[in-house]
Amino acid sequence: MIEYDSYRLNNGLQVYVIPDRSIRSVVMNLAYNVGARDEEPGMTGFAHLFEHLMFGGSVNIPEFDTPLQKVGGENNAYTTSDYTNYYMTLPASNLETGFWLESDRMLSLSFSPGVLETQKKVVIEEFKQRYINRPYGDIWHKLRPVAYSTHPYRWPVIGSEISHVENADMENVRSFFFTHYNPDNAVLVVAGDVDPDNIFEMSDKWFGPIDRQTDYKRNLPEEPAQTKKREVIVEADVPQNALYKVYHIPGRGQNGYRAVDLLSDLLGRGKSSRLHDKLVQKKQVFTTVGANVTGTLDPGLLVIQGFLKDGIDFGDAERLVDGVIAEVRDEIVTEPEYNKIINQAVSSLAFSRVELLSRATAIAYGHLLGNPDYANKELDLIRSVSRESVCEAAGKYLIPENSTTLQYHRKKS
Amino acid sequence: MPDRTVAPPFREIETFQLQIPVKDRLKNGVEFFYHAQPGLEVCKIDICFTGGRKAEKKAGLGNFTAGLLREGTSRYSSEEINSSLESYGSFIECNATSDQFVISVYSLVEKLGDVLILIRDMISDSIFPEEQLGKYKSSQISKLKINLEKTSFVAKRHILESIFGNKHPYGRVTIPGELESLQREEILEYFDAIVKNRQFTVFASGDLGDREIELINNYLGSLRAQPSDTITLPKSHFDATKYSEDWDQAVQSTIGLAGPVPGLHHPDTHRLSFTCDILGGYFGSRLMKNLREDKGYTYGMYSHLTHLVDGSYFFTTADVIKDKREEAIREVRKEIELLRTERVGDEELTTVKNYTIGSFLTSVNSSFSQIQLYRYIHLHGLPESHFESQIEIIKSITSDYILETARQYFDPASMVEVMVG
Repeated sequence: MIEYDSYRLNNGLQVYVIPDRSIRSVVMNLAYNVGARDEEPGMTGFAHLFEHLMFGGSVNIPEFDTPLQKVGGENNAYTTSDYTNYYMTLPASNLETGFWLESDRMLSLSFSPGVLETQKKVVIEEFKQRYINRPYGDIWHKLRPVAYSTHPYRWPVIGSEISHVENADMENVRSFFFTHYNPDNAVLVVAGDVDPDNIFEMSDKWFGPIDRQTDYKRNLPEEPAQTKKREVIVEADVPQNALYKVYHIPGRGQNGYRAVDLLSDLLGRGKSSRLHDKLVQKKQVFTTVGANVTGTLDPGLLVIQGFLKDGIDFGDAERLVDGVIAEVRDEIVTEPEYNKIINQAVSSLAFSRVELLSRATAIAYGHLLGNPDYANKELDLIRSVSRESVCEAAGKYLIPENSTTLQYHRKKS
Repeated sequence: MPDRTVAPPFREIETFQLQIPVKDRLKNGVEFFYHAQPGLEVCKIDICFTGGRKAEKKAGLGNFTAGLLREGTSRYSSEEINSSLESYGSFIECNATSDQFVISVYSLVEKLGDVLILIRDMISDSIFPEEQLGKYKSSQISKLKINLEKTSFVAKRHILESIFGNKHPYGRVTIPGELESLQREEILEYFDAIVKNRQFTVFASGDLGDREIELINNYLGSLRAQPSDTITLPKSHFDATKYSEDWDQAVQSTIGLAGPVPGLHHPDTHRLSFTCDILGGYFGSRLMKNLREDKGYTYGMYSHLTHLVDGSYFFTTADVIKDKREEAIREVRKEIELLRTERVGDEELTTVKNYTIGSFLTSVNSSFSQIQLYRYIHLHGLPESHFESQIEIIKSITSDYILETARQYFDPASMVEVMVG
């Protein structure tokens, strides 16, 4: 159970406080409700590039990192398809420095051309390092645009191509900032050795005077129901053949999500999972195989991925995967197997609550989902999934016409 | 509107004090350290055997033993072990680090007894079935092949080989052909020498009450714990010959510099680590400012000191634009040279001092992280005041000390340079 206090500023900024006096430090987690899904199709990768610019100085403070380091703090950030999260940890005695820095960059950035030019280069190197210069790095660049025809999840957070990042200009930066980086589009969570009233007061002092600039109403194209099986074949210089199969599933917080999440565990979490047991241990067609869900706010994907053993035919491997899925669909999950996936989910949840930062992020994430208390309801949500509904989810979502298959072939030398 | 042009006043950061864990012994005499943090419903137990990779007669033996530990005992099959552990929602990590063989158990406290029954069996009676070995081999070989296509992996391998020499277990590299040839008998031999009925130490944290302590004592305290044989290591041999590999298909190159440094027991160790932090220990470091923020050559560049029980080294690496790799390595050399010739300014000195102290303080925020620090102290045989002294020394460090430290221990001319990609 995460105990928290909540307060909303007049300008719409939502603040939550999680007091934990057993810890000497403080976490400040500020999430903006903007991610890669809010980008234009011709300017993908921008939300992430923008995240880099948030460290390039704000209107009154030339540099973000140094003043924070000076008081013993550190920080980082990440961008997802759904939101952008900035977080810092600092000694409790110097928390106000965090408020000063975060509020100034919400007020306005410095919009320095030099910063934009450098960060474009840095992001391009990140693009190469993670997505080009390593085997299988481009999987999602190949898979997303086929699995999604319409919804912005069809491009990866890093962007669909390097030229989009190269072409970004200052006008784009300004307009993105004033559209999305508004107080009523953000949620602040402060956790650790703090007093809630003191935090609310500090929030009013530093964030209170920031006005909202524009009204942005998210209006994303919905992904139409898929009606036909899709396939992609890629050939590259990789060490081993790999098979990916993805299926459309509900978004996090939507009906049916929990059952599908548990279904992915049943299929592909751990060595006793159905796929591993049948296809790695018994049939020995894969060297590794697993399944997971993307867990996005809008409808996401269940992903099955595996590396094929040398000499195994893609078609055979895929038929065997389909066979495992058919068994889940047609036969009821046994009681011990059901207990297993529930225990796994309960245990993961408990471990994810150990660190202060992940507790803070859980509350912020719940807020983005529409209910901060979501974090505290997760345990009940897991336990409320029935054995039947796991099998039903297989029948409903894991069907060929709802799937995209990617065959990643090793180039013959 | 508050005055945003002035930073809020800085308040002195409290001194860090390591929370000393409860020190106990299991009934077999094994040392048992723990921190309790009630209410979590989960716990973590690290079971540490002496040896790790440095006790290997052949590269890969430690990792294979660790990887296969859950693949069968006389009593339980691989399938039974894995499905039981998974059915309790527990998971284990087995690792052969450079110096230790470690089994980490993560469990709901409710299921701890069930889990420990299996763990005890794995420690005393693993049989490493031939069939599981074959499967594990093929998955490890394929992982290694994937890694061998990453410039950063190949560069880091070469750094270790240069620092320690390829005869030394810290420096020895693994090649697919060698993994292919590993035999079950060799794994059993390693297991007998390091794990089975051997001396170990237990570090636990999380939701531990009387019941859990009793369970740990019952299951792990009933193992025989005989000292393992002393390991004699070959002398390490540093080879500073420049190393480069040109890869046509690579779009980036990994560049790096590295060299041996004095270890944790050396009186200059804290100064050394602080000097390394100025160079590349944090996001605002000199390397980051120069190569990332100023020139955009790389997504990131950090420098590190790695302390193993029998050897310590400095290294810094980065994946950089291929066309700029020569410039990049020149800049790295320049930054190190600068540390040796010019005094660090007061402003930067204060920043790095507060940053290192603060980030250390804030990184310790659960019983899990507290016990990890204690494990580190224990492994290296350091005094319990190690981290407190580190902070005191950092507070009192001057720019003269840094200049002296850099001159003495960071000489780019005597470091090995690597370039891959």
